[in-house]
Amino acid sequence: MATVTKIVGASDSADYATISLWYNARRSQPSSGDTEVCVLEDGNHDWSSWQGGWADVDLIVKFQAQNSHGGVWANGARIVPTGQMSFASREDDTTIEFIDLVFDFPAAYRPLYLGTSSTTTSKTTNVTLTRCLAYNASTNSPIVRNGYNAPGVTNITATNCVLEGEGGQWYDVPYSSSTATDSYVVMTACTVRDAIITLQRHTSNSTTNSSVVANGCLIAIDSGMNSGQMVKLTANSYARGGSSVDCITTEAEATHDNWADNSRTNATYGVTFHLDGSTPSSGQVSWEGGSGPKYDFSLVEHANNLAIGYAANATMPSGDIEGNTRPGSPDAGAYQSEVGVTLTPGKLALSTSTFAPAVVATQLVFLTPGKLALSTTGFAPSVASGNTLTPGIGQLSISGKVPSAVSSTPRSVISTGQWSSSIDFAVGDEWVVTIDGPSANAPRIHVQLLFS
Amino acid sequence: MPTQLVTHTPDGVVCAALQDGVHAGKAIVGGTGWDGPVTNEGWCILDLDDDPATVRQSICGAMLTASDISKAYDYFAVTDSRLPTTAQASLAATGRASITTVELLAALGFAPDWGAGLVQAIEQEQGTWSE
Repeated sequence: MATVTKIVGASDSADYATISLWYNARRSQPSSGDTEVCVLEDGNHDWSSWQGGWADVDLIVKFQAQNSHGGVWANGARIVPTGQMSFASREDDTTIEFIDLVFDFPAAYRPLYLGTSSTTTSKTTNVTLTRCLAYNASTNSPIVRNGYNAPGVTNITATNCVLEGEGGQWYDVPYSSSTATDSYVVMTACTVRDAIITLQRHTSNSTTNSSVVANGCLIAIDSGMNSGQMVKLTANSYARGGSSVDCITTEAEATHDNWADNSRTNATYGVTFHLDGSTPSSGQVSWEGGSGPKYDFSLVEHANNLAIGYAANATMPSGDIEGNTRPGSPDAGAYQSEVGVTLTPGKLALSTSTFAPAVVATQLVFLTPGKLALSTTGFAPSVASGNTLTPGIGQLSISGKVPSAVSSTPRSVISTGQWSSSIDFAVGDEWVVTIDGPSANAPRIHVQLLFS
Repeated sequence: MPTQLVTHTPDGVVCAALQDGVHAGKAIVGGTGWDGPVTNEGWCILDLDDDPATVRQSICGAMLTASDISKAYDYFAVTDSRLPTTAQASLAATGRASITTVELLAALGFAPDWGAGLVQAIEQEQGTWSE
């Protein structure tokens, strides 16, 4: 179970300049259970290659970006194909993973093609897309095509992905084979715009199965594309065993349930999606948008945005497509908005030092803690996950009495009305007269000092 | 811009058609520059004066009925023993040889499991077959 990692790209430090060169160097090397990792440097890559010569053993192939795209179409490692990447003649179990990649597909046919030369050898094939941005300009060609004509299972998994299209399918099982592979699609925390899944089967084959499961997804399908339905089901389509949890969709309820097999939790139908960054009305979803295609599908931060905090039931990934942490009630879709934070200052405590907190006064004295200030540094008080909040120092204001602190009990004569007192001073004595007390009613005070 | 045609043993399958100046990768070109000697890991580089598009079209004209296809790799293989002796000697010494497109076509055949009909079917499916 060895893992061999090679770097593909245009830099001098890359092992191979192209995916095709990497494949030809590695194709005969794997033993059963091995993993071949193709790390793609930043920039455009052409995956056009005939990869039918891999050693026919149980094999894992990973295509992984060297640097994350950070949720931006123009960044990172980008698959811009001039032709298909064909995994033909596979007779053993195969897993193909795509991690942190951008797929930028033209209108022509350029898919990952899964094929076999056997009609009898059962096999399991897994294709996973993790944190990928995928745009398909084609209206009839997929990004992943399952051309298997053999029994077994094909699992297609997309997590934290953007799947954008022009009405064409991003995954399809197009052919009508009498021996077709079961095909299961699981989408979690994905943002889907006008990208379809097509499932078909041969008229003579009633035993194959398929399903589409969607968890915490945003699904916007134009009504003019596949009648506004995310999954294309034809008269000969596979069985419908799917489900949906925490999904927000433009689909009508019956349309959504058509592929979700009437098994859904917390789904909202017929939702209006904005692609222009506008403020959503209550119950709507708004993306930042920008100029398309390849829109910015991050969420507009607004309390009305239905997607925010929507995925309370689905098992969501811990992070989003950009690597941001998702909170306890995450957003639906690939992008997690900034986490809402409630700022609750604690009650301000009063402590005294060097004197007891007894207050002596002839009128009511109130000790009123000032309002606790909260300061933020480097960002507006719309607080994102990871920002630091530093409460300011609490202030205490005292009304009605100057907060004098007396270190010792003074000698004093307290009387009302007139009073007199005499003290014999010695040479060099100092004397002090202290008048203390409330100033109410503006009393007049006369001090007469007599020296005899 | 001249072309580096990269092949790999045992069948001599053409794996890439790179422009001059493009580094094939440090696992293929062991030296410090893109035009250095080739490693001994089964790689060969044939340096041609024509640019990649011209090489591809010449291959199409010789091997297929198309005027152009999407690529000059995967489908074809070079048999070293059919190259000029000087080129064979150079390949043996450094893994690189400069040849003409005519000399390339004389040594070119289809890669294992490929033929003109299959290439045509694939290229037509992709929309990259032009006659």
